[in-house]
Amino acid sequence: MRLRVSIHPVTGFISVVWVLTSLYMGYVLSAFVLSLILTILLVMSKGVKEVVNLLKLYAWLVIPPFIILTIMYTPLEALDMSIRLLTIALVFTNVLQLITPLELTYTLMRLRIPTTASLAIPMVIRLSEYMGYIVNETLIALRGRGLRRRKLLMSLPIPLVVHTIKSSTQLAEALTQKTFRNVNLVLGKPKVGLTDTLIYLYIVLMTLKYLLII
Amino acid sequence: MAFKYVEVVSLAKIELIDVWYKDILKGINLRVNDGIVALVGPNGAGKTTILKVMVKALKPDRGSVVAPEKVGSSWQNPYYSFTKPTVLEEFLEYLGSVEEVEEFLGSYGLKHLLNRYTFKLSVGQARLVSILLAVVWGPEALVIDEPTNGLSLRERYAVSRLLRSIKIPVVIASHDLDFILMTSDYVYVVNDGHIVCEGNTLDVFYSDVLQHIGFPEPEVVRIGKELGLRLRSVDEVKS
Repeated sequence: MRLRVSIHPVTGFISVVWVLTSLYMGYVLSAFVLSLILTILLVMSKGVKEVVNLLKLYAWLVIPPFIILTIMYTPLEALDMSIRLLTIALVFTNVLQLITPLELTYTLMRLRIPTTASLAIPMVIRLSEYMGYIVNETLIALRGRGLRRRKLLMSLPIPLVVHTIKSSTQLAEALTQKTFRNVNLVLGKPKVGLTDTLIYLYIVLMTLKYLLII
Repeated sequence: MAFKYVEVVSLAKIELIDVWYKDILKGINLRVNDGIVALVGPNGAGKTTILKVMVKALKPDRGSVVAPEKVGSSWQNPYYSFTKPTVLEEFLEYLGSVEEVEEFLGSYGLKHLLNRYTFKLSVGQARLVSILLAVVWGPEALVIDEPTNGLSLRERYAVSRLLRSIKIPVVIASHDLDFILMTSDYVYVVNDGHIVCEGNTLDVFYSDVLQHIGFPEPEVVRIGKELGLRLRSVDEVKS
């Protein structure tokens, strides 16, 4: 069973900043725990299978550096670096997946970012799956004009970036036109819920702990 | 029989032998020797999948594929083929000098596009440039998916003329019957993953196969029938 779990965009922002600061200060385990909490929320929201697939992908990010660093330094240092990498990857992914696009749009608009851009940014994030398909189509198209290996990979980002900007802007324009007079009508005003409170509680407690240690 | 790419030299430039792919292609057999071959069929019939198998972008579950190493292709979204800001720069990569690019584009009547921004070209212009980019690197065959999507009548004629002037075998997938009638030499009719009919374009168009799979009769053919006339291909006229 999947639950409708989401977090407030501000909570997401604070979580990312807090995790990065904690990692910088050397509190790796606390940062890792928060990223795990967010992962559990994501499992509740998206289901186990989808998150496991994501973790499989991250294994490729973590295992090779772990092996190399174990050879170069010590297993403990390798573990520390791998956890840092995994924490950063998890916190960004989880936050982006747990914030609903319309709530993110609302928050961006409150920050005085133009409506079109506010709508386009969340869409770019959410269209990542579709982008996979587009990447494949672009690769086929570039191979069709004779590009191979290094040249192919070097050229790939150009049509992709152009396509992303074009599509997102077109979608955002269409939505703006549809709700020209009152964009707020279709946007959900974000509310601070139980999940947000739990995350805040964890961050505050751990920050207090750091301060007391210092 | 498991899938394999056939290494032996075949007389056909492209050949698909009993190709199966998921539940999309169900035992496709086709040969492309020369000229322009069209795959005709309704949406979702498997035309694009056949083209992707030809360019080895998809690996079939079963069957054999004979295809040259260098196959040029142009797909539904022509803008995916562009990597440089202007048309000139796109072709300069292959042709070396501005004069040569001018001559090349001029030979296809597209010299006026030389300094245009690639991503700001109209769909029709982008389609023409994308086809030329698929040709300019010297492939042994060319594959084009839905060449007339979003084109004006004038641009459709331009694409047709361009394809007729290319000297390598061309495979096009389309459901634009009028375009196929004026462009292709040979037609494969695809429906639900099967090839239901093949033959000379005029023979297929004068049969009722296309009507059986839901296409209307092309206007030119209908008028010809009403007048008791039959169109003749260039080859027929010559012979």
